[in-house]
Amino acid sequence: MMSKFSSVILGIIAAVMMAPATALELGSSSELHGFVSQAYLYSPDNPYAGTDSLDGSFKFREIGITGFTEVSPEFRLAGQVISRQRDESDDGDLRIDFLLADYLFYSDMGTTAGVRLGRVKNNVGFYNATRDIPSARPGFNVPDSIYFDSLRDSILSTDGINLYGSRLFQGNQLNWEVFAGRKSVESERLEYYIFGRPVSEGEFNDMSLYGLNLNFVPAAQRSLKLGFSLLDSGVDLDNPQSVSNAQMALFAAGPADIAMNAQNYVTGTRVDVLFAILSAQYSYRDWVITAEYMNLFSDLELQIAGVESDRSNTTEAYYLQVEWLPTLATSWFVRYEELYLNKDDRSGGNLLSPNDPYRGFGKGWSLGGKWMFYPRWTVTGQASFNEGTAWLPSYSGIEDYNVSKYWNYYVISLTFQF
Amino acid sequence: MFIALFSLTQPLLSAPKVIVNDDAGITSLDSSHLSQIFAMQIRKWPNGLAIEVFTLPSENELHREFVINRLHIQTHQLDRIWNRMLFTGTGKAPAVVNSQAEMVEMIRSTPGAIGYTSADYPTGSIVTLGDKE
Repeated sequence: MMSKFSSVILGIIAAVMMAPATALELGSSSELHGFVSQAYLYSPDNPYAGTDSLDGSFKFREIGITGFTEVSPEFRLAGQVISRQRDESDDGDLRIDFLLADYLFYSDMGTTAGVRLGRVKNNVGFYNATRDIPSARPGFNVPDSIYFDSLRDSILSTDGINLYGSRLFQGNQLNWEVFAGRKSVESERLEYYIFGRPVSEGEFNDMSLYGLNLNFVPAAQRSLKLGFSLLDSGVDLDNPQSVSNAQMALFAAGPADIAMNAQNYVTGTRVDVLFAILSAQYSYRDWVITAEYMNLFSDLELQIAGVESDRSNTTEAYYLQVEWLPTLATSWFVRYEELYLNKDDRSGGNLLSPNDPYRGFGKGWSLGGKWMFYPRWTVTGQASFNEGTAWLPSYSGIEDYNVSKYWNYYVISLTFQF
Repeated sequence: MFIALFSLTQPLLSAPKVIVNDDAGITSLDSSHLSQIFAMQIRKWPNGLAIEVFTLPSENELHREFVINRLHIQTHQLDRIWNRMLFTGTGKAPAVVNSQAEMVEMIRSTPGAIGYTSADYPTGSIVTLGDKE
């Protein structure tokens, strides 16, 4: 169901498609831009965000409208709404992607510094902040390994404060950002990530976030960009099942059930996660080579039927991607990537996910291309060949599907951006 | 031999020139400042005036020459920086003009403006920043 608001947004986009201007300029200091992207995704081996994709599905659609107004050279307001449908894993409801006030409090020829308040996208790695912008992705997806679906919501943006700046010294460019705040999370996605299934009672609501992002371009090699990101976040399970209820349920089911269905006896959970991402990108003529490495340390304090346990885990991921841009209107890419939810258990055998023995790891090749066949219109194609299901997007019911270890998906999409 | 040398030096001699509005109060810029200005990172001149950046369309050949020879990066790098700023709400892309004549007119008439033309394009009394790195 498309809301009235969505129809208005589509109306604006339709009007722009007809208009000759490249952007909507609302006076000299405001602009409105947007995009709409429709994809066809075929995933014959495993259900990708829902079972429709097994036979090919058009239920993959993204719409966004962004605007800003400059009140003065130092003060600006910006916002974006996005609707994202991915079959059953994302419903297409409109969300405020960001909405911020930005004040540049210092600026000279070598140094700038400013502050942003509101909902701000998190610069975590090269792609997190733009993962929902079709024109900013190399293909249909950002790299699945580091930007996997389970933690997408949790780290997308922060409601809080963001301090940023840049510094030019002896020709070296440094950009920095620190941020702090909270993010409301979609509980179910996180429950699937931690338990492989939804918990019987309780919800993850609000996550705390603290982050640091650095980007460096050395004077000697301006085609090289290095990045470092740190993100610390924590979340509690609110209103879980009481210990006495859990113990009664366990008594009824028999103690052996705790191994099979631990999610039914959860009486408390606290998750702390520390992301560290190292990034590098090198541009040479028509080529762009990008590599990133992620180390994600998580600490899970779990209480099952009143019994406390504490387990920590390190998740590791990396990719190498080569893009070729032979013309201004075309680009090609190939990418290899790996993700291990527990880096000490690379076959993934020890996860709380008895129905899917391959969820602990992912390895895959992707290749694809983009062609802007007419100004503002782009067609994108991508094929991905995967082993292990660590980045297979979950949906309610995936626990009943007998997933395959080897799975491919193929996508073609049409994007309009103004 | 002489001809080969001449054709090698030719692109350097004809590197696009940077033109700046009078009010910016600036007479030289090295390429790292220049590239940070076109990446919309440096936003004010030393005298405090806001910088207004003008470019030709990304597919324009002169734009490509300017980006490669004066900023020492590739055009797609700049396009991606601008696109990223726009869709994360952290900045805006430069104003795009469609011809060198329009460029010269905008630089002349807009306080704090910076742009470029080909080396041999007549720009009259407008401040031109040299080829100095």
